[in-house]
Amino acid sequence: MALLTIRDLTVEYRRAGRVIRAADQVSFDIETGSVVGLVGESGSGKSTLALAMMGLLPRNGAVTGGSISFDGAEMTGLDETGWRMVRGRRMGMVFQGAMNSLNPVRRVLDQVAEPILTHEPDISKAGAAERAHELLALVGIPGDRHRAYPYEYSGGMRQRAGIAMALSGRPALLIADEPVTALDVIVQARILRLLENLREVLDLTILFITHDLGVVARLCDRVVVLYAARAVEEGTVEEIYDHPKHPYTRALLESVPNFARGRGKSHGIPGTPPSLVRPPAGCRFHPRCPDSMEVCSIQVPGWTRFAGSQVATCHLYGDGERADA
Amino acid sequence: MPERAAAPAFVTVRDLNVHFKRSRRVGDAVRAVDGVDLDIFAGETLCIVGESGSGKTTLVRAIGHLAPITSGSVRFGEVDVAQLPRSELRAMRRRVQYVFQDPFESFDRRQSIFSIVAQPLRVHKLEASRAGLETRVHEALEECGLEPAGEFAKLFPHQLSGGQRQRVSIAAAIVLRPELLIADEPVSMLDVSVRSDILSLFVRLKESHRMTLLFVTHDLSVAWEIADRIAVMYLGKVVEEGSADQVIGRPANPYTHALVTAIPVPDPHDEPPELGVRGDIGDIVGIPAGCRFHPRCPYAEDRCSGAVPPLTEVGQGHRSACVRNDKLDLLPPHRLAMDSKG
Repeated sequence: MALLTIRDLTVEYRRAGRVIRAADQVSFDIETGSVVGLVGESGSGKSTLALAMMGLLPRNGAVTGGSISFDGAEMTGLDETGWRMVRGRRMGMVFQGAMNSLNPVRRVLDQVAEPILTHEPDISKAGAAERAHELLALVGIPGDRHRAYPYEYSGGMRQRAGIAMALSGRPALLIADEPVTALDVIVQARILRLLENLREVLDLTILFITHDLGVVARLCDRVVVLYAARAVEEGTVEEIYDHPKHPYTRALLESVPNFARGRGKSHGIPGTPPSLVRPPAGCRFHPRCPDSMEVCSIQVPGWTRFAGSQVATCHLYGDGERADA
Repeated sequence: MPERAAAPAFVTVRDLNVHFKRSRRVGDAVRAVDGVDLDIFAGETLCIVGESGSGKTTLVRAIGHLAPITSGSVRFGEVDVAQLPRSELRAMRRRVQYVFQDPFESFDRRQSIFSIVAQPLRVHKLEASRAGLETRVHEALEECGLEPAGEFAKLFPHQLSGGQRQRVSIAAAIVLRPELLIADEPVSMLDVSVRSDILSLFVRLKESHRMTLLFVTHDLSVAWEIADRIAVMYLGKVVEEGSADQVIGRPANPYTHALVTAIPVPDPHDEPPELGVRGDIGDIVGIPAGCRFHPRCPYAEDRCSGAVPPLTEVGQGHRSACVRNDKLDLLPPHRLAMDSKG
């Protein structure tokens, strides 16, 4: 069963009298217990989608179409009071800069205990502290460091503390936006393994947002690839990594250094992602696409369904009928 | 112009120490670089790899005389830069240029691309005429893939993408035609999709300008793409050194092995061996006795906390600092395609 269902979700920002469509009719599901990777370059709209899913869009941004259904309930149109019942409880969040979500002058233990006290009115202070200790131990922070301040933590420990805070409301869904991007490689690997463990132990469903296809290969079950505010391909990790269909997905994979492929074999994607103020007509990737055809600049390609659960939107595969992804 | 191969090292670093005094705590210095020996050969790409706090940035800053040297020597040929009088430092600085990590921070927002790239020429008074400046700036921009150069020269940093800005900082570094280019994490802020083109730009420029490239990164997969040789640093010391194939394909030091194992590979079928390392580098307080990695090392024995293991030969041109060097049979970290380079 899908825990989260995104259908034709459109998010727009207004800036200086112009409308910027940062997410354009994006659809995907996150099945209960699965880990989905949302992958795209800077400006692809991946963080906008995350903000929309958590009701955290800035004032100049709004969902202007489509739906977000979480745990069977419609989220679009929810007011702030409504969001507060969901955010930090059924839905936890981890961000890139863990320091930003931690208060530098409060002890980590207290910061993890606070949301527990807010969300569970029946719990005692001691009970909340005990839960906070458990959570911090669960994310691998040694007991003698629980009462330290965030500045006394290394980058890896701060991210662990950030994860503990995100888990304090016993969420069903954890949204992680570039959670390991600024970290050293070993720290990054250990945090990824922590997320793998937490998924098992807590039965978590995870949406993992990243620009790096290398990072999600091990952790994810499914991958959604975004380009210039639109989803262009979706499938299981094996489908996406073994048989990428969309030229953009292929290019993205070829840009990641790969030991198995040999040295100097990775190459970047020519050009830069398009401006969302005036995106290219037709397929938005066509100006950078090695396989571009005439039709690509005229017509938006429909979805083609491939063997298994893989779908992609590209004219290479004929007109393609819109698969019910 | 230094000769390639056969010649002695282009840069020779011997017993280099860079210690920083912590304020208010006398006698408790931070040993950012601690007794490093390193040879850099003319025309090679040497990658210094390490995590935050390994001392890699301080090391290359000392080599490029941007960090004060506590003791030891950094020689360019016969010249020891640590002993160089101020008057000669300026000429030396021209031979060594930098590219830094953050292309968003390193520019004055009000400066045009033209004046950013022209500035080093002006500072070193190398081109007096406007026409001469323009020729050299445009040439540098074109070499860095910013074409048409005339158009790019008129733009301002905020009008460029991250990758383009990094190309501008590379142009500003090569416009002086340095012999040594030092790049400190120049791609770590960029999306993976633009990294590899910037990396191949470095390789191309190194060849066409006959430069030596000293490249700092925390990411061995970046080093794998461009390095001839790799030196791995941990808490101020070089712990392993060798060709890229040796260090990444057959790491001898447990720390390097962990670094390679930790690299995420874009292949869902790749199952790297278990990462046995305990804790993060940032959790280490002070400098452990003996081998600095021993408190985190899955292979540590009692003697590892004794003497500091020296770098010893484990293969031709391949050195590692570990008391168990020869006895460790480390599993290959990843499926690796070897090639003849390096």
